[in-house]
Amino acid sequence: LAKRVQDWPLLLAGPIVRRVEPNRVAVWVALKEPRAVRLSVFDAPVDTGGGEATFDEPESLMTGTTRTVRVGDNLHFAVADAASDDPLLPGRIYAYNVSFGAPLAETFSTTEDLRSLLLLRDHRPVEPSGPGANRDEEEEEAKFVPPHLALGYESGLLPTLVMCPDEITELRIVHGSCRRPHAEVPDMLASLDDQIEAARTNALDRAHQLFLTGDQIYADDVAPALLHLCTEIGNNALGQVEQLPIRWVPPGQDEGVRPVPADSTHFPAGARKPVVRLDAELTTGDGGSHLLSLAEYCALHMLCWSNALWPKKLPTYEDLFWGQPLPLSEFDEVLEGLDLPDPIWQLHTGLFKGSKFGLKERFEDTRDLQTFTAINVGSVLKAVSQSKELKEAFGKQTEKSPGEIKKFRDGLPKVRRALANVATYMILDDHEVTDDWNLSPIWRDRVFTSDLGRTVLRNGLLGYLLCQGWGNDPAAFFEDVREGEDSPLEMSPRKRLLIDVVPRLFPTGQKAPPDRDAADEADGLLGLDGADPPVKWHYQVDGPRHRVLVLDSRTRRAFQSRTSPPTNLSPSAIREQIPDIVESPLPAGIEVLFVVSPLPLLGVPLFDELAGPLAFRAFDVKNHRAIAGMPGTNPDAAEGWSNVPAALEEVLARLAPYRRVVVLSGDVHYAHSSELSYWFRGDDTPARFAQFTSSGLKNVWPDSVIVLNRSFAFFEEAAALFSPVHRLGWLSHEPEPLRLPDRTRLAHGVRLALLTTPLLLPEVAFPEGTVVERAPDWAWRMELAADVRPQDKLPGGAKPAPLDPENPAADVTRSIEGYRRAARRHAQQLEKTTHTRRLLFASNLGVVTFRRDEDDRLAARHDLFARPGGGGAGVFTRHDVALDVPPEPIPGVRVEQPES
Amino acid sequence: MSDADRSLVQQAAAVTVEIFEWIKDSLASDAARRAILLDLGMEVSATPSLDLPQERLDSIGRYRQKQDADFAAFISAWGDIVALLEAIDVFISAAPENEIDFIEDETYRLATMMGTDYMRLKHPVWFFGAQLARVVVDRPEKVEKALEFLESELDANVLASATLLPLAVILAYFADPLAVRIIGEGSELPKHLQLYGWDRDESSPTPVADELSEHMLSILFEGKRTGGDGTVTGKLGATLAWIPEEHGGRALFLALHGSDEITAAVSDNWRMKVKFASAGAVDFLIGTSVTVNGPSDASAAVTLETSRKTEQGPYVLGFAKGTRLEIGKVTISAQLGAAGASIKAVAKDSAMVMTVAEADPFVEKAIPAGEVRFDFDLGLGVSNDRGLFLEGGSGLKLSLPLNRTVGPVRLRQLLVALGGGSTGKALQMEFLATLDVKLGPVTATLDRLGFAVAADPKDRDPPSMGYKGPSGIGLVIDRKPVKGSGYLLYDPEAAQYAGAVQLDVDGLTLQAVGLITTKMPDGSRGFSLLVIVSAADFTPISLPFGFRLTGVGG
Repeated sequence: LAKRVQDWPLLLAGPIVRRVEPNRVAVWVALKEPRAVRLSVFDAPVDTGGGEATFDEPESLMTGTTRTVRVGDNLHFAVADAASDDPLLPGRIYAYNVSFGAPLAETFSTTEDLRSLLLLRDHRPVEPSGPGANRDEEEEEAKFVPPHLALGYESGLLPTLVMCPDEITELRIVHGSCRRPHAEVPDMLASLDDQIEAARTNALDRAHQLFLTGDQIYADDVAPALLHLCTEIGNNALGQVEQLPIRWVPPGQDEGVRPVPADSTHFPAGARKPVVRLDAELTTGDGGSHLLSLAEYCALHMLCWSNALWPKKLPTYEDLFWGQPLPLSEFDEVLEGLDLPDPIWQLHTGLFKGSKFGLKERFEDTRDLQTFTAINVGSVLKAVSQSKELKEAFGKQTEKSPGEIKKFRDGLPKVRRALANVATYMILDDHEVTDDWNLSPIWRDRVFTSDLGRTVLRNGLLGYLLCQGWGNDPAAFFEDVREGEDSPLEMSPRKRLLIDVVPRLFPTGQKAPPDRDAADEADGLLGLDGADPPVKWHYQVDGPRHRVLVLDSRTRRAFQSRTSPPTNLSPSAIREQIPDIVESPLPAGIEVLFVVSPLPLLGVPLFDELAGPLAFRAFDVKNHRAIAGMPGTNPDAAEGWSNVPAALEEVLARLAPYRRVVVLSGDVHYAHSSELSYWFRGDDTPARFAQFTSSGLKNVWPDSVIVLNRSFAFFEEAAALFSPVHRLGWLSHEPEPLRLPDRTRLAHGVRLALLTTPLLLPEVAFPEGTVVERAPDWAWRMELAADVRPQDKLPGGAKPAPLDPENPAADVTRSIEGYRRAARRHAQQLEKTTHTRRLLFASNLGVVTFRRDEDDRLAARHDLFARPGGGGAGVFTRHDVALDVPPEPIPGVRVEQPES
Repeated sequence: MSDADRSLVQQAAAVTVEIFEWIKDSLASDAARRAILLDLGMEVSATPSLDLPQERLDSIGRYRQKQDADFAAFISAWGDIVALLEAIDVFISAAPENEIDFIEDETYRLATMMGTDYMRLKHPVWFFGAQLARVVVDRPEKVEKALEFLESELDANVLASATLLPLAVILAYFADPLAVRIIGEGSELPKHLQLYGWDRDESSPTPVADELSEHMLSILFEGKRTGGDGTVTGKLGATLAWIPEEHGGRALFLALHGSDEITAAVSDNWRMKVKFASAGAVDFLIGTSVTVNGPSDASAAVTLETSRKTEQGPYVLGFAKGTRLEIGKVTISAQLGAAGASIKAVAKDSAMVMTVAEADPFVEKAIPAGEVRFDFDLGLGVSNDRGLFLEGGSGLKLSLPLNRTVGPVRLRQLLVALGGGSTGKALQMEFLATLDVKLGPVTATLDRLGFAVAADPKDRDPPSMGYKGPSGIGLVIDRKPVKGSGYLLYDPEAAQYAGAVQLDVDGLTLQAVGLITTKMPDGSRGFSLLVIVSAADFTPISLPFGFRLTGVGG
């Protein structure tokens, strides 16, 4: 199904504009062959004219050449990095070209570039018709050139990037997260292309930076058809097949591991759950189509960023399994004379656990079945795939998902073009590697001590490195050939070491890849021995008026106990990732601090305060036995920052001195905004936080919740329950800050809080008659933001129809006729997306902008673009959060002065 | 479909067995027995056990499976049912300290109560359908009572929160699974949307409409045609709100919108069709009466119809080889329109089949065919203004003109009558045909013969079911020189037809008394005809020998 390697284009994915600074620009590419890659930046626009030859470039503003890093025989990545002492100017649009030359040549000579690769013009495949239309499928697939949109938006133009403006009110930051290809909602990342296209020549209206805040891929929940492609394309790209270490207990021994090829036969898509759960010890609730090999991780990334490798025809159930029954006689032939060990197939499929697939009936002797299935699980699956039950189990996924997968694929030309035209920054969340990743010490112990588990984590992290992490801060990894550059860049030697390990993992001709030494070296650098990982993933980006701290809340965790919710950042990670503003003052001109936290720092109070804790405990009661007796396995409920108040307080306390903080998050599969005022003792004016969550780009909550939200007006109001939330904090109990009335009965939680240091209480928890004798050392108040736009300002997909089209402002009377007209409007509203003023349960893309009021007070605006139902994108939710507020004392606190 | 599956009597027997087994299971525990007897108003200090003879249940079960079950088999099964009822009598009469004067009545009440429970739990769709029918019939009084308190806007909001909101919740989580269940896996499902309440906006220019909308429920089903069974087409939607008196209502406001119809298979044999038809927007105010606003032809209907294939044959009431009713394609529909609300069952492609062998020898002789079919379509409905009615008839009586000839028989009309009749039974159903038969120069009109059922739930005598002989025979003679006519009434006691005939023989008017005896003196099948002719008041006829004939008979 996948194209033959010889039919692949040179550029497998990209270009993606990555880190952009005034003095350096980086662009990521994935290539079929090794190359020296040169990036050149010019003033825009640059029209290369027509033609298919390489572009005779004018003098560039900056340039740089890099060699690709080999992953496999047919897979090479590069982050092309151009630099110059003359900075690019803020608020300006620049064009760039990526050109390719012989990898080992002493001087760079262009052999291909974006123009010669035909990426600067549209391509729309024409369906064959007339004579010869029924060509051989394989031939047709080989000749199929997928559709493509000119990267410069007009034929011949080079793609562009735009520098952040010099005014914070002109800055436009786009963010999103959670992109699951087979989710049945529109892919909002594709809609970014429309925004760029509409303003492509306007440097101030274009997106200046894009932050993808986690779950850019769903490694543990791939549609079977897509996983099948990942396996085939990945192994073709690698040029060999990774050998996965599968538990295998030889007779007379206690344990053992046997290498098993990571191919579709041994690890068929849709049937991996048992091996993922029992062997890798992972705890994902999905897992039937979990990525396992590095080839698959790389392939899924490429298939999510570009359509260059997508086939014309998507795999069907029959392609994955088998369309026809396998005659029993073939079983006999295979079985004859074989003496095979323990049933590996059981790990792969779990089919033998019951007789529902009819396997038992095919064999008189169970041992025969075990023997047969042991040798080739793929054949067994094929043999039983005509069974109704199996088809029901897997067929739904393979037959239902292609519709969504196809839509996803068809949107990729826009995604590819958008990513080629905006500086893009990424950070990992759990689905980059696996669900529940680093959930608890129990989880780490299980997975880190499993050979397959560790392999999956390594592959996931290396996939992230190559396809996401590297481009965030390429200077921190390494540089190679660079023309006209003398001064060495500041580099992290460990990151360079990690990049250096990659080519040694799958050298050509390796008998049982990956190379063991290289893999062990990678494991050490990635912290898979359980230590604090030497390679750090957090990073920082500066614009003229803003700084962005991108937090890694996955690999730098701490744990209070073996089963309690995780602390998303350990104390040392907090210190590292959030610089102390006193020790590292902000550069002049920085007005706003952005923090990218994959998990929302300030969640929806109803969920954080009530639903989350309840769900966490309910899940443990109901399900934890199902996952090897491991409690605390509901990460969606367990991983909220609010579950570990001490860590949240430490993060807030470290961020508050920055005064204006905008937190960008994802993960939760809905969008919302919160605002928080933060006081240190003695503050007249609080620091202000805006929490902007956009999730997901192509993933939302289950239908049951969406129905609840869309169907009932009161759900929006219920979501605002517990809002605002107050906290008062005292660092110590000396002297006791609160005087409680005599003989007060205290709730357990309040009593516990009163005994804890630091003392942290919501004001509403004070028993009546409590006297505050000492002002709190800090306090905060958080509330959910609401869209206050009048109905007529909502997008067409949400705006109510007028009661009377001829007189739109007219209301009705309280009469039967009034009901009649109101009912007509009510019915028309059914097909619109309503109730989006606080929470948006639709795939979305967040856009952050700033404005100042007449008093020069700065406010951040969070526009959430969505296209529910597949219509045109619009701002379905808009939240404005003031970042400057007038002086205000800590609410609800009046300190009693002692009587003199 | 086997004959047993087509026989409604045998299917009823199957249900009867299930109900008795349900009673037996339900009364298995002491606590349940006590509770049920208390429900029946009996005070019990200790409860007896119910001993339903299993062999009787098995016997009915065998009857249910029997091919070509005849009247004798039915009577035998009836005997089993009576025996089971008597076992319940014993159960009830064994209750200590209980003075039961009418044991059979109590048994009937117990069976009714348990049967109702059985229907509610095992066949909820039919149970609620029956409840709906009751509401339609009893609605005005009940609705009036229920709506009394609906005075203010606050009342309407409270009522909406208690009714429309729960309905919205139920629909939100069960409409789609139900649709999956109805339409079946793999079919294209309808899109289901709903909205309860309104996204209020403080600056809205339409505060009143917003306020009214806050307690409205709108629902929409939309689907695409996929062809074949289980298809979904078009859009159907509704908006509901309670209107209080102060807003001019005391009614449920129901606005319908959409087009086309939704058709879905409920089971192998039944399909459901929801159809809304209107040239424009239409709404209904459903209070003590139904007011329609919109085109006068506007209507909404929910229809259940059989989708059995032709080769499966019709349902049969009666006995497969005897005179019987054959019920073809049944459609049950609930309709809301300008004419009010109604529920109607229509049996299309049905027939009354008369087996002549069951008739008396005269009729048997008169009708040469073995069976005569009377095809018809029949609708039985219940509506708020007409109560129970036969479609096209007057109340529960209907005359269907047939006017067609089958061989020597001319079918004239079919009379259908339901309800208590002369037999005094609670349920009486008659399908009686009138037909003409040519007997040489004589045309005999056999009046009102066919199929009749008379039953009473409280009655332990077996119901009468099957052939009913004609109530009389009309005679017309028209062959020169004889012309005349007359009518013979049937006397079932004497098994004979008797009546007067007037003949005109070439100007001579003769009065005759006809007597057809359908039982021979020795009891064998056959008939004899005796005609006593008299004539008077005619011009004396000169006879030979100087006689004059001045009269005949006397």
